[in-house]
Amino acid sequence: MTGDRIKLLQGTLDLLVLQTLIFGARHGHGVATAIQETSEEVLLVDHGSLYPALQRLERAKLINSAWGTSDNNRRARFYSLTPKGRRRLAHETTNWEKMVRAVARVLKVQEAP
Amino acid sequence: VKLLSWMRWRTDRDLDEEINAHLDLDTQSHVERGLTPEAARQAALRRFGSPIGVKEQARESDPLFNLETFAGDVRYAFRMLRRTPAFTLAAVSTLALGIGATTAIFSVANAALLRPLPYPHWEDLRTVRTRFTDGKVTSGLVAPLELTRLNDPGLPIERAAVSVRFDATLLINDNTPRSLVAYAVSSGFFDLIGLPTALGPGFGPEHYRTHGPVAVVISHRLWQETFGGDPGIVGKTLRLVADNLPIVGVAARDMDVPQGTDVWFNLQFDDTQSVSHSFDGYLRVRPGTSPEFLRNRLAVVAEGLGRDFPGPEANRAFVIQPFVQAMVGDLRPMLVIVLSATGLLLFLACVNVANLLLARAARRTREMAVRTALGASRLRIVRQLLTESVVLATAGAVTGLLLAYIGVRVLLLYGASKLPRLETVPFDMSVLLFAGGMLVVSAVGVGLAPAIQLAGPGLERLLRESGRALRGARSTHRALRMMIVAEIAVAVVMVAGTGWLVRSFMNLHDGNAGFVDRGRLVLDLSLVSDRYRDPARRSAWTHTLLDRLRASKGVVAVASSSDFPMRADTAGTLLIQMDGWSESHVVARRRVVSPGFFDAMGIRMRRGRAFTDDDRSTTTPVAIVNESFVRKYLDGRDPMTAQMSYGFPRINPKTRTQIVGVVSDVKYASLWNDAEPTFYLAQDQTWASADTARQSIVVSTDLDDPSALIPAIRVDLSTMDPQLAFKVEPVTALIAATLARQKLGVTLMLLFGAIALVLAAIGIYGVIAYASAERLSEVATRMALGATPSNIFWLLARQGAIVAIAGAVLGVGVAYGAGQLASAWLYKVRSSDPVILALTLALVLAVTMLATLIPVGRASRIDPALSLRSE
Repeated sequence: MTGDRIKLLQGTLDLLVLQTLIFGARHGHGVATAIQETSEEVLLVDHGSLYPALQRLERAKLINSAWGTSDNNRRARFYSLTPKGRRRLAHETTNWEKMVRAVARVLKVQEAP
Repeated sequence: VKLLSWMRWRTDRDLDEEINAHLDLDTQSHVERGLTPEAARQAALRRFGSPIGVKEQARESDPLFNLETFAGDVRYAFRMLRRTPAFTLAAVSTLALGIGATTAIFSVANAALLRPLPYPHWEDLRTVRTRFTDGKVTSGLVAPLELTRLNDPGLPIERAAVSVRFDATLLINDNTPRSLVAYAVSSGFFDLIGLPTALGPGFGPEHYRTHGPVAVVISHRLWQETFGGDPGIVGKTLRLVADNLPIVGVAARDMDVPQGTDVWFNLQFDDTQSVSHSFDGYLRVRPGTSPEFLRNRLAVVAEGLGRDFPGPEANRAFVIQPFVQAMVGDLRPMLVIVLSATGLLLFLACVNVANLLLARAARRTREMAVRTALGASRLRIVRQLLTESVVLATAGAVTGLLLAYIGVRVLLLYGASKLPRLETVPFDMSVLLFAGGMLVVSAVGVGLAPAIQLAGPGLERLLRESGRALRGARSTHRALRMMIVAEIAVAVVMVAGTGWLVRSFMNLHDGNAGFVDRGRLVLDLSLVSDRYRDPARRSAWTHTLLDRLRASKGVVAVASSSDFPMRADTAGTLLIQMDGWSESHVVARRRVVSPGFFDAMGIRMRRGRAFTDDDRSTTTPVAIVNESFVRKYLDGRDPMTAQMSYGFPRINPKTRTQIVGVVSDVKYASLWNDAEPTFYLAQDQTWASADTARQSIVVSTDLDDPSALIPAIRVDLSTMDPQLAFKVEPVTALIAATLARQKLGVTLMLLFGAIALVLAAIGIYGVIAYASAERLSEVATRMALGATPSNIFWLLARQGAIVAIAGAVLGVGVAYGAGQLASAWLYKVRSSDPVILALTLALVLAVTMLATLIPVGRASRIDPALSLRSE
């Protein structure tokens, strides 16, 4: 395992989970691998912490779930975005980008005084 | 619960399956990267972490899941408790005893002590009297003028009213007489007490206009007993010997102010500015008025009265007393003692169960270690343990409520049934709330100690000690010992408290009244009819009656008196002027008695002589005074040479009387009020005064049960005057009635003390038995090495002795301190009373010893070979 992996920031896991579901339903393992792969293995998802997050999101009615069959015929629970989840994702993404830009500006200013 | 467990089952299985799916998928992805299936599975598991931990986390993040966890915990708790039936039985029955006893006692205290009066917001009711601040003497009663001022809306008083007693005899349909307790009451009296009439409008404004109509409100009791609950009674006429009056209402069933009233008249003042101080005053203060505020405002009123009426009202002050105190005596001490005892009792029960749990927890160290290793958080374990104690406490509370219900019936049968309004002790909301509170307290109290022990920072240490886990940890032993010390201390406090109350009760009861109550009857009658108007006839009739009674079989002595003790009567207060005194007059109570009264009552002569038949209207007027009179007014003088005059509101110089004797003090007002200075006059010398109409005749017998004479007395009286109303009862009943509440308190405390001892004994027994069992292998080894059973016995008994002594010392200290606080409320009892403390210590130590020796004795007789082999 490479050393430049980053532990997820508190609270960002929910956002990432929602993002991975934007193109359609995935099961829990799929969500974990999707995050890992799209981040080019930089972000480390603690698989164990994924399920409480999924339950949390489902209770908040941001995602819903149903049993289905995986690519290799394994029964698994698939999660998909609700309209509410989609709105939340858009909102949170905007927030996130604002914050990233703001943080980046601050950091740049400090680099070149 | 069924639904809940079904849901839990579903989601748990769901989550299980989901996690399994995840692991399968992850394993596969590892395989695809070239790992062997086993290695792939391992990697997947590693990456996932603890599945149990995940599940716990997932569940706890959801309130619903939390409930499910709780349901699961409850089921688990039931399983654990079923597995150890002896422990469960002991714990539940101890809690049931604790909760049951406290709830039973609370429900009685609630009915008898917390809500002793049936009037709405009775805590706002006050009695009001007056006194002079300059030492001058007054009847202490209230005048119409003062009433007018007290009803000033600017005061923190909602209403003020007064009452004054009359005598009346009712003629029932067939002309049978019945003597009535009648009071005339001022406007607003019924509103002040706060109970609306059961029937009819009661008194209206027209009744309080000067020269308005006179009417009566009859008591519920009179309505039921004499008029058979006639629903059309309002508007009918009440036939009295003196007058016929329209009935305008039936009072509420619980309306009993002043106590024992049969009939209320409307009281009209000819002059609202009158300064005749002859009325009993009542106030209803505004809710939340502090005593200081009321006192300050009334001081201002009194000042104003003194300015406006400098003659009669100068230096007069109002004396305010809570109404409840005037009605049932001061119940606070009883209440505080009984309720704190309740708390201590519950504490004992909790300590016992906590002990049991602690001892068990020591054996459960391994279970907890495994659970922690499997990913249970500390919080989770604490919750599990608390759930167990909640289950225990709930079982205890339910059983306890049942016990309480039965217990209350038994208590009522035993002691409380004589109290008015206690025929039914309600199992109302406040009792249930109380039991619920007890449940919570005991669940937390019982569960917390072992929970901290098992899940606290000490857990790791416990785990390290796991080699000895089955034998319990040292800290557990320390906790157990401390609890036993506390338990013994509490038992000492409770038993000492019981001792004080019993002592206080005995002091009140035995010989304290100043007369003998056993074997005596008191016959109350009122010679109000016209045929007794002539004093000579009254005298002749009374003499005939006394002679007739004296002739009955079993009667030893008979005498008549104007007043009888324990009647809470304020009558007979007079001013006294001693001959040759420069000081102004003093005040004393006058009682008129016939010859032989002191003998018949068992009152001792201290000096001089008693009245005889030779003290007649033609001879020198004589008086006998009591010891308080001598002590207070005749200090240093020879009473036998003293002469006095009396009168009210002025001394009447014609009443010059020679003191011829001194008798011991008798308590007239109540058992807990000191005897007042009193002088007795000879009945035959006072027939001409008007106040000999009401008489209490004491009939002293040599019978165990004087009530056997009552039918004969009834016959005697009805042949002498079929129209005369009278009442006859044993004097013991009179005393018992005034002490009923105190007796109830003592009964409760005796019960408390006994239960406390039993609980302490159980606790000590349990702990010593546990500690001895822990040391079985040590004992076996020692025995194998040649120790005798008696060596072993003393070895084990020593630990019991140490905690017993520590507990006893602590308990005596606390008891002494608590007693200092309580002694002001106890009747002539000192908290340092050596007899009580010694008896308490002896009793508690004896019980402790017994509880220690039984398990120790058993342990010292074990077969060493058997015990060692089982290790």
